Amino acid sequence: MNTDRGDRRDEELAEEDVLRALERAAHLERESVAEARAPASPGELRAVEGALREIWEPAPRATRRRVWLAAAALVLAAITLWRFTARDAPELPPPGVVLGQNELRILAPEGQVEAFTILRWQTSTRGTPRFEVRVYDDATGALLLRESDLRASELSLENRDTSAWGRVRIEVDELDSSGEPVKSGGARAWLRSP
Amino acid sequence: MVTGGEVQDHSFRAGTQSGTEDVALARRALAGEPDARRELAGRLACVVRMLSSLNARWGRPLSAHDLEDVTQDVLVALWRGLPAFAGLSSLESWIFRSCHRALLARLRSSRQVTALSDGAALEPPAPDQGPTNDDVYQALERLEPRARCVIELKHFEELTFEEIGSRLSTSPNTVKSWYYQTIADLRRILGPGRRGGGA
Repeated sequence: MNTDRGDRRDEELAEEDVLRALERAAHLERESVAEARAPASPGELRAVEGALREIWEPAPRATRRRVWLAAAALVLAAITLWRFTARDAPELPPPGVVLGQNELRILAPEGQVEAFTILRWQTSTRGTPRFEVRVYDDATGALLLRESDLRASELSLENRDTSAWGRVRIEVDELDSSGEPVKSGGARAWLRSP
Repeated sequence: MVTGGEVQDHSFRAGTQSGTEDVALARRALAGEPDARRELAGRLACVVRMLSSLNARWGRPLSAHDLEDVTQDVLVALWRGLPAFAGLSSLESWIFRSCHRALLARLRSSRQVTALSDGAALEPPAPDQGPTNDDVYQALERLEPRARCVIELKHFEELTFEEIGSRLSTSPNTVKSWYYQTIADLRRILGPGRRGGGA
């Protein structure tokens, strides 16, 4: 880690530019948040209620019962179909892949999850290695997320759009000083069906 | 179980005082408490204002109709993403960053910006051609929680090193050390090669 603030490499931004960028982002956010703290107008409240009404207000009891019965029937049909058709299907690998003594392991998400909130992994390497994280759609192989040059062993998904994530494959590489992978870990995770 | 080596401790979660209260509100709203949902609805109403303000700052690339669509999408996405809200910042800061990101995504999908290079930011360039606000937010998300917290308390909440030290139960000198180490990391993350990837 570069602790000499006067030293600048070609691939680094000058300190004053970093501070200016931080202040610019912070200034806009503070202004917007300050405006937001004013009481909501009736029109703004209507917009919120309109958008969330169907999520917040439960369906009538008879409709819920029909929905539950239909869901149960579908689940039963799916299980029956699976038992008769999946015998020769290749088995899915268990969630989490252990690579041996010198390992990198995905801690979260793993297996069935309620929501994709954070990516977390663990390495046997001491110090502060760097990582690259990739998330793929398990069905299509499409790249959903890639972050490289991470110092932490976790990545928050708090401000990311994961609405398209259903069943995913997570891969994490630990990188050496030249950016080459020296260790890898992987896992699969999927959203619990409602 | 990892054999050999030291397990890295990244359980640091100081967060902000308002963020902690907001997490409690979110949990109560998710649990279905009517009072909490009413209060949350009042707080979420700022989405309309924030999107309108950002749209105006960027030269009104979206029509009123498109802005309504984005508002609807953001509100639903915020509710669905509420379980992931961890209180690292206040609810309004979390909402603002979601609005910022959603508006950029909408501009991308409606092709409002021409001549994009791979990974280029879509918001108007910074006056000094430096990192955009989106670059800054993405860089913050790549930091360790403690490092991100120090930067946000210093720049976004404008606390002094003494105040940050008090909030994090450590000395101001330790906070300064963390702060300058993180600035050094951000110099590299926000360097000329920052538009390398990420979905």
